[in-house]
Amino acid sequence: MKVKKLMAQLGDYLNAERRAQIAKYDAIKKILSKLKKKTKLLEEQLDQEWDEAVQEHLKQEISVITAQRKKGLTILKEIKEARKK
Amino acid sequence: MIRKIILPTIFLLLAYGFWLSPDFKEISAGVAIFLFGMLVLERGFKAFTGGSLEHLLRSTTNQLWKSISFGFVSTALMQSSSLVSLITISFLSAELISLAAGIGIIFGANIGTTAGAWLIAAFGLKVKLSIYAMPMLVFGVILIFQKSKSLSGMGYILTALGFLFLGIHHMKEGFDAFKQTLDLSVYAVPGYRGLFLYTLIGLLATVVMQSSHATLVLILTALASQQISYDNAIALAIGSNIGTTITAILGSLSANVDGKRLAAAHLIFNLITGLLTFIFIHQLISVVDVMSQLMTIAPDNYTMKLALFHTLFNLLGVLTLMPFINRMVTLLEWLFPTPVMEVESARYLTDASAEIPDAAVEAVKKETVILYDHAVDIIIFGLGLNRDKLFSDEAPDRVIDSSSQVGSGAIDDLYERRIKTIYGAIVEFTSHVHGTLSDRQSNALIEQREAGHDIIEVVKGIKHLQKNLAIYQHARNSHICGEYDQIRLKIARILKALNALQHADDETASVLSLDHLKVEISKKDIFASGGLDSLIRKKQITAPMAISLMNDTTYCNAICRNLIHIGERIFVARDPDDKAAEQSVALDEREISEVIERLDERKLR
Repeated sequence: MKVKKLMAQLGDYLNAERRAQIAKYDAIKKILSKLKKKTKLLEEQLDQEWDEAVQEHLKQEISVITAQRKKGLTILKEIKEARKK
Repeated sequence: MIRKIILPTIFLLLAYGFWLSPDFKEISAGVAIFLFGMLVLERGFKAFTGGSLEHLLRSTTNQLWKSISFGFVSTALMQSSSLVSLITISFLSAELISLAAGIGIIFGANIGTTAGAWLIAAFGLKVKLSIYAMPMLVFGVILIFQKSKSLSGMGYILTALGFLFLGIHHMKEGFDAFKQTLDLSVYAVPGYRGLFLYTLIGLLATVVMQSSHATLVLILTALASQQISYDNAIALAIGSNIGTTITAILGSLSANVDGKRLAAAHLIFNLITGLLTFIFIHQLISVVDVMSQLMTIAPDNYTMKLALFHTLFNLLGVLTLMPFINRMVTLLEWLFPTPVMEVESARYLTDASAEIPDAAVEAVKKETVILYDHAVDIIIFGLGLNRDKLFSDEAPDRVIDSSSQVGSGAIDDLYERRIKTIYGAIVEFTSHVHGTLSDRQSNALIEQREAGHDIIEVVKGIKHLQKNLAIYQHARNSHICGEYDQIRLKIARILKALNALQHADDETASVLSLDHLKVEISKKDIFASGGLDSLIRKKQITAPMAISLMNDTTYCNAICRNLIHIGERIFVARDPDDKAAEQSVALDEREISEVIERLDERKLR
């Protein structure tokens, strides 16, 4: 089993395309966690905000980040499926 | 005239030498093969300068000991102090590293270059290197033809090592055979006369070959076959150390002021080290003898003793000058002052930065950021805002309320003095970058050039906008006055967001935040929201005012769009993978529209 895993890792290293895919997957995962942190931060700000205009602004920003996270998750799923194939 | 004569004369002399002695031919061929190996080696290592080198340099040069270690390790591994000098000058020209760090690297490189002498003295002259050279060349050439850049780079390095081994082998064979026909050791000159004469020969040989490493290999092979005396070999090594500075000086001719300062530091180091060695030559030789005994080096193993001497005298120079690096920086800054310019010109786009693709990309990025900073000053001036207030914690609408009168004119002059020359230099530089650029590097250059073009468009837009802003800013009609304030507010918000992104140090900052600005711009569009029609219908503004507002809204939208494009290009993540990931997660126009639709639906509910 270990040998099989090692061979798979070696295969990943030698295949440039696959290596790029792994790098992309990791980078998107990193960005998604960044965006998740930011969403939490904005939601906390929204809870404490009384000014309606600022509230509207924060809601807008949260909606944009939600759309970005959704897009990122779709890309991650695609990469995973491509790797399986 | 002299230049025209030199090359044919050298050719004639060499040809005469080859005709006279086949052994001389073999030694010269060995030197030629070795030098060619050095060229191939440089090419190989350059293949690995695609991204990680910049990161490595940044993280390993923030302290003096780290800079020295970087210089030592990189030179010992790459076996080329010239390549390390060249990379250091390129990165210094692009201000990726400080002058003190650059000096540290050069100091380290001087010790690192001695590693080659140890390897050759210990193994190169005892083992038949040509046996290893042949398979290296075969495997290397096969690897060169591989598609992968790193495999091809490894191929170049392997081939280079093959050539270096082959070169050493031919030099050794040549000297061994030469000894049977002519004994050069009879020309050995003893005492200080010999020291000066052979130092000069070593210096000249290095200047001609442009490689102290090649000179040293030649010295070691000649010493191993007893063609030169140990004392004279020492003098030759000192000369080659001074001669190697010529490469750095030649490299710095095309560099900016920082590159010139570094080359001067290199010269100062080698001259002082040479002088110290001259003064303490006998003491140094004694230290070498004592250390050789401790290291169990045989008393007659002169090649190993020469390698030890070479390391010791470079170490002596580094230890003596290390405490004076900051003073050296002050002296060099005084000797080579930064030029003050009436008309702003490019700071980083030098021929030296063009040598290494990564440094070239970084130089263009930095120059584009400078161009952007100048454009921000012009925008702030054109909108009649106060820079400090705009970039403070104050809300943008309050900044607009407290703004001064919008000035008239002057933007043309500012454009000529602060934008045009730099942008021209960026366009010219990006067209002339040397070396083979990877797709990522050429895309980065294209992106920066596009960002520069967007900056020009923004400045032009501000120039158009300024005319009516000056007229309507304090108009009696509060409606038109309010609309022009909205235009200023829209641009001010983007400038503020971009400034936050430019100076952000928290980990959640990313160009993805610009997507929110895109939504805001679309939502506040006076055309789409029907605001303009309402103003005309209710006769709150006159027809000429409406036309001006329509035109200026178009300018404003273009300015905002261009500013966001600029931000997406110049404040993007440094790491290529992070950058690509950010770009793929960023929303496109259709997705932005969908977000707006969802927001509108939610509002209606």
